[in-house]
Amino acid sequence: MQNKHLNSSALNWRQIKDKLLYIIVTLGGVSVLLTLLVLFCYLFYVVKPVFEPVEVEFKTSISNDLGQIISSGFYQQENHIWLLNKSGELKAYEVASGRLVAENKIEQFASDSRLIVAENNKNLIAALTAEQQLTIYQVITPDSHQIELKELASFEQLTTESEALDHISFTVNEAKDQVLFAWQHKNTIKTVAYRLKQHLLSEQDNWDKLEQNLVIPKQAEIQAIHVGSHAARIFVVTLKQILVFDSLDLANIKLIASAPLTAEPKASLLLPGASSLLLQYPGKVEQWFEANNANGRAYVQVRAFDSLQNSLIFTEHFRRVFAVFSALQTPTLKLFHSTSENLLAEVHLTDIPSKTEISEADFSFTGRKLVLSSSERVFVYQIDNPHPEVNFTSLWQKIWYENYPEPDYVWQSGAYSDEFEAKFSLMPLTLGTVKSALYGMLFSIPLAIAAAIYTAFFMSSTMRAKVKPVIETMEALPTVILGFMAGLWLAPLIESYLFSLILLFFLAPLVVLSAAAVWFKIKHLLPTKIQLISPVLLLMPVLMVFSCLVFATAEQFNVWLFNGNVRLFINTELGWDYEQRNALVVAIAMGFAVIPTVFTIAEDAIYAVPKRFTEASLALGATRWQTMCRVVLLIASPGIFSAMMLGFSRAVGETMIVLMATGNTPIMDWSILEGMRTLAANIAIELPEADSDSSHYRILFLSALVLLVFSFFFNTLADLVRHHLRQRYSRL
Amino acid sequence: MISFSPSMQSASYLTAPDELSDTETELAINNYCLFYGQQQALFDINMKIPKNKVTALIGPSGCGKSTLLRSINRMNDLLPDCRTQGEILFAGQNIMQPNVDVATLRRMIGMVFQSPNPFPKSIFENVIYGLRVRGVNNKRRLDSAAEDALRKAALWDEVKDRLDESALNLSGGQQQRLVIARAIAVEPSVLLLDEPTSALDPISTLTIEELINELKSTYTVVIVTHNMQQAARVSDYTAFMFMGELIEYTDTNQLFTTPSKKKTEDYITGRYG
Repeated sequence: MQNKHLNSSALNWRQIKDKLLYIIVTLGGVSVLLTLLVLFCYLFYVVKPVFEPVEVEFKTSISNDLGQIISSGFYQQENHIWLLNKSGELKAYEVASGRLVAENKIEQFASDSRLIVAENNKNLIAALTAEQQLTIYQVITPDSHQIELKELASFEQLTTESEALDHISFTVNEAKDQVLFAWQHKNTIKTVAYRLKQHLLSEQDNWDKLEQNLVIPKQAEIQAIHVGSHAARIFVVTLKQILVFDSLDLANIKLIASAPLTAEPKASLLLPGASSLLLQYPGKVEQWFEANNANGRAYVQVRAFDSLQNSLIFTEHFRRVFAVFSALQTPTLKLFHSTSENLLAEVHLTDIPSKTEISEADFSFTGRKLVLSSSERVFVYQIDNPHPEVNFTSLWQKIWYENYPEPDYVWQSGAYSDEFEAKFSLMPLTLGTVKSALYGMLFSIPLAIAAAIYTAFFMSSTMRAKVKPVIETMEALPTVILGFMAGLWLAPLIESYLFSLILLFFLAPLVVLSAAAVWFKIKHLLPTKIQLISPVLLLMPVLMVFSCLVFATAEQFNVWLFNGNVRLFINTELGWDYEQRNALVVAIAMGFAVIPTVFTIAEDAIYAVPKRFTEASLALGATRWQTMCRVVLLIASPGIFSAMMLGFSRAVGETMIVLMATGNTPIMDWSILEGMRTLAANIAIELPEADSDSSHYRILFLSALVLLVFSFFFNTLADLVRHHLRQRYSRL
Repeated sequence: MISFSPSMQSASYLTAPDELSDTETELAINNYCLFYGQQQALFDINMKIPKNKVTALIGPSGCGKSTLLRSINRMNDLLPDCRTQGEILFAGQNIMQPNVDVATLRRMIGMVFQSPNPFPKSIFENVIYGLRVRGVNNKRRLDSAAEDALRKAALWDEVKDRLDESALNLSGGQQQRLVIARAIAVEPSVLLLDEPTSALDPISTLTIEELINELKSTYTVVIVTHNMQQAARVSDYTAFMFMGELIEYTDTNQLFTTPSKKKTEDYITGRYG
């Protein structure tokens, strides 16, 4: 009978509801966890390629009947390759099949002519006859089956010298209206610059010719001459030193720096970009660039890389990537990123027979393909190297960037040109995040905790019922409005009343204390009715009057002490920079976002302290203040701690306030009078304009991950501490 | 084991509470009324509490005995909307006056609550809490005060080796004795006990009762209890309260043997409460 009863109840509606609810709750919980997991996985998935190793894959080898190759290039999405030999013959192949698709050659090519490849562009070739007649050609590829040598300009006579020109080098600028040649003539460097008056392609070419002789030290054995891109610099590498000439003004080229060399370089070449020179020694490559130091402008060795013996060195066209190749033993390729001092890959190219004489090597423009040419065959490789500039060092350590006076942490992601090197140090952003959170906390924690103590412990319950919701409503204020107010209204206000505020900050506590002292002195003399008024109510007008007094008189003091300009005093006398939208403004604005959170939780924690402890303390003759400090705060400490940690998490993740109330300058500076850029604000600013899948894009995701790890770390830490505190007071 | 007999025997020599001289009186409650908002909780209480005796307050729940007890050291101040009339004289001064320093008053009139409420601190820090808040920081003085108080509370032997342990590790009975030690460490004149054994087991209760007997040689003890046997066992005088009024107040023996009021008799014979 009873059994039957139990069975029938197994299916009743109450239990079905119970089961259903259990399933729904479980489903909800699991899906929250899953969402978090998916979020993390997605972030990892986007960030991962940045740290993947570089892969070099053999594509094809094509037999070469052109002999020695002097220039090569890829075209048509890098599916085709062209090769140019010394005699001006040009052939194009399809990479996948090795099939010849087009050929061409320089017409009227004299057998005694010489071809020179431009320093900054392998597509530009200068042909110089024995009579020094000069023609500049550009290799153009209108489609896959057509390849042409287009004549850009032609000049009657480069120079009157009859012999061959030593170490000749030239550059054509991007607009193709300036050409600069430099070569050695005995003990001088001769330069010839052509400047186009009209556009290069117009019918009447009207070129200015500027000639100059640059004096170099006697007996300087020149190893190489390089004309830098944009024709801004001429580098002369001798066996003993490097000479740097400024050629920005083509009519007045002058020596600006020289640097001695300790050993004789085997070869030298320019890195893409403005001013880096790579010097090759046996087994070593050095990077040199222009940097300002204490003595002014100098050309310095910045770093060195382990190279290979007897190797060929070549660079990419835009990124600071270079490679060395040696076929002395096993054909080996080493790939470097210069700025991050990163050996990207070291691979044995087994498809190249040992001891093959590779005379020319070149990357494609994107750096995704590589061609190595010997006089019999050309070898094409695919390189998967999308993020050479990113590694642990470049993200978290000081890097000596080109033309910087010293190694530094720099965040400068914007690229105004392809040659610009993006700088991705996360340090300034992390520091900015910590700085804004820290100052925000310094401002808001004392206020929030003090308010919580007062509300929970000293305020009458009717008053508390009104005050608490009001403070909690503050949390609902959109942070974009807070940031907007802080940036546009508060920041100028603080700037103009800076002195009054500093004065108030230091004097207000003194006034409160002395008011309290006076109150207790004269209290007994006053009628009982006044005695019973809450001292807080009496303090309000005192503080108000005092503040007005400070604001009214501070200007006088300001004029008297600092000639009316305290900002100038801070700048010049104290040596601190003052930025209008600074950490102080952020701290105050952040207070509005953080205080309600911290206040609510801390207030609840204090209010929840069981009455029996307060009573016990009061019954022992402790004052309310003593009870507060010695018992209530102790018992409420886990809750207060959680409140602070939540506030910190909120401050770390805060985006809009920092974005709007600071100048967003990614600087490494703890000064409260300077701005900052935080990780969160940085993501908000830059993600919309980052190319997807670029290094920049992935690093922004990485910074999101850093932010997440940050808050995970602090939340976990907070939880551990809270757990520890709870356990101490576990039997309450 | 200390027997209850001395107090029971001496009961026959006790002066009636109304006839106590000023020197025998610790506290004099005169025409005392207490209101919670509009509601009156105590009606015109008049009683003299004798020095160095145990006075018990009994009565059914909600009769106002705890409220009266809490008035004696102004703990009623903590309640919102609480208003009082009349006076409570302690050492010749009306303690209900607003300008009385309640912290000093409470130091002289200590209180022990219904459930043990040691602070989440060490045993030692609990005992000397009252001294610390008075600014006593002399280590030797604190040590001797702690030992003294713990001995008086009959707890010393049990905790002397673990004074630095958390007070929360003690049993309920030990905690309650610790709380008593904490109250007597500040050397009050009056000790108010608000149902001190209601949360304890019988054996702990017995220990506390013995302790109360010990304490009355030094302190004036006022105890609120639900347990009439306990009142009979430990107190010299007993006051019976009902609906906020003091019904009968006389020496314990007389109250329990020959109550003069019908309500008292009904209560002690278990008609209600």
